[in-house]
Amino acid sequence: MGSRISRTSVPAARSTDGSGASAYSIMIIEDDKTIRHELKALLEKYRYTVIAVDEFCDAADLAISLRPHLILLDLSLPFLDGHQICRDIRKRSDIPIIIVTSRDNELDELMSISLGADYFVTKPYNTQILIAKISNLLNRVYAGGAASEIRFGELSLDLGRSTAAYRGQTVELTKNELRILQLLLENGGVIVSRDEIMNALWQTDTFVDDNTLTVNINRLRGKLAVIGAHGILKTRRGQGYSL
Amino acid sequence: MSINFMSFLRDKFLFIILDFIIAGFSALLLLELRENLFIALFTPALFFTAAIFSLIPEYYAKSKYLNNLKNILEQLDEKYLLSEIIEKPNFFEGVFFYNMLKPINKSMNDEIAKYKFSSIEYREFVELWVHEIKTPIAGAKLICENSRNAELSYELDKIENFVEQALYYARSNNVEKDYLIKRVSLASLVNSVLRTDAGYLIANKIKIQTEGLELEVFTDSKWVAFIIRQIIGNSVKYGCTLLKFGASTGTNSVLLRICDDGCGIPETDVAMVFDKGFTGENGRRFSKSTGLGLYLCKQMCAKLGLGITLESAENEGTTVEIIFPKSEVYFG
Repeated sequence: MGSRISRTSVPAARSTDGSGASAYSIMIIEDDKTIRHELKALLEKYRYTVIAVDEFCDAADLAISLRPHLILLDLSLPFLDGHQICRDIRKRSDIPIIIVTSRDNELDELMSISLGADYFVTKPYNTQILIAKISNLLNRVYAGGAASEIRFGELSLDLGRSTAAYRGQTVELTKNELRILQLLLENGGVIVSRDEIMNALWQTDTFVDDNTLTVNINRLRGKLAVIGAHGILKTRRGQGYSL
Repeated sequence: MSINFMSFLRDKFLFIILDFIIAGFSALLLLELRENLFIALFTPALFFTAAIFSLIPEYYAKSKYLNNLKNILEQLDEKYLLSEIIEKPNFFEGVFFYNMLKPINKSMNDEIAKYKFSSIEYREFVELWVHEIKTPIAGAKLICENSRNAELSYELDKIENFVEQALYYARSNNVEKDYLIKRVSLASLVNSVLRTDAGYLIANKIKIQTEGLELEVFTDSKWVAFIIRQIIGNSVKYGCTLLKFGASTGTNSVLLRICDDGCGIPETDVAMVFDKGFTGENGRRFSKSTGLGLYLCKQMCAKLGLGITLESAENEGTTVEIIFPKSEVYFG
């Protein structure tokens, strides 16, 4: 194979590492260097294993042999059309494919979907949308629709049952509380701004405002206190929240 | 301009005068020859009348042809195509003009073809350019995301919106080429816009209320999303803090209502907000405005067969309504 790849350690199946984060592998087929690089960094921040391809002639073969859990495919590539790659992969494999493109017309979208792509996202994309679609698709395909569990330290979050657990005690969370806690867990201790949290909630069609967010955060704090996780959700004045 | 007998006679003035003078002169001549008075007057009068009557067939032929020409011109949509339709006249001035009209028409058609071609080329260039520029914008946004630079990301959102405007402006001349009518709920239209513009709206601390958006319409979601985006973009620019989306059903239509609590538009300006390049009082008072957003909305609504209205009260807010026709068989 002539292609260079940035990382070759691809888990054959989903495994969990020490922190309990997901270890799905995602293959990026994208010709723009900046986007490839930044997308890799972004996805790695969400603890995905990323394979970034920078030669495209045999991208389809590479995808088949490396068996990533998901493929992010750009439509306009040098030498080959993204549609062609999509068709080639689909002939031989069921790997979920998300098409990412700057061509935003309905025809491309229709064609992509009819060629077997699972989602169609247009550039410049809202990264929250992209992340949401990726995790959605991965859960649907590999976890049989049952969402997974995320951990941070002793705190764990069951996305399927919408519950948080801390040292053996469990509490039920509302949709918004779940989404907020999920975001904080995924960021693993890094500060998340209020605007980012709101954006993540907006992506689920709950268009909360500043006050509602404050209420949600306070309720979440209360529930975490009930299961003994006092002070685990920290306010960073002027910056946001972190675990 | 109408063809009547008087104007025809005026055209023949010299001929008639000359005829009259000759008739008078012959009468004098006959009197000089001592003919009796009756014959001396009657004979020239007879010749004079005959000469005048000989004009009638000419008048008839010309007026018939010219009136026909006038009717064709009135009914013709593209008037420059006149010479393709008319028949060749049978009087010599007519033939002369007819022959002149042919090359005039051809050069006009050539000129139009030239501009059509260059406008198609320009549109294609803009589309290509927009797709090119979206890649670096996407790259820059990812960099912002990874380095958590919210300010820069906000500016990039603005750039993105202006780029969108350029794309849709270029496309707006032939909407029919890339639209796809589908059944879509107003909620999914509005929500997709809110999701995409989340960063921009949250940064501006906008509150959102939606109500009754489960109604469905048949339209192209992409174009309508663009229209909604322009409208809420204006709301944010002119100081709104609350955006309300509502819907209702009319007799033959579904209405999408977008209300803001921004500064409103002065009464004198409301009538002109959809005009190209109109910026008005607010355009000057707030940031520089191009006067393109609402103009584009109006254009696109017209092409998609939608209605759009705007009402506003100063210092209270602005309401924009998009009216979707309610027929299932409506395909623009």
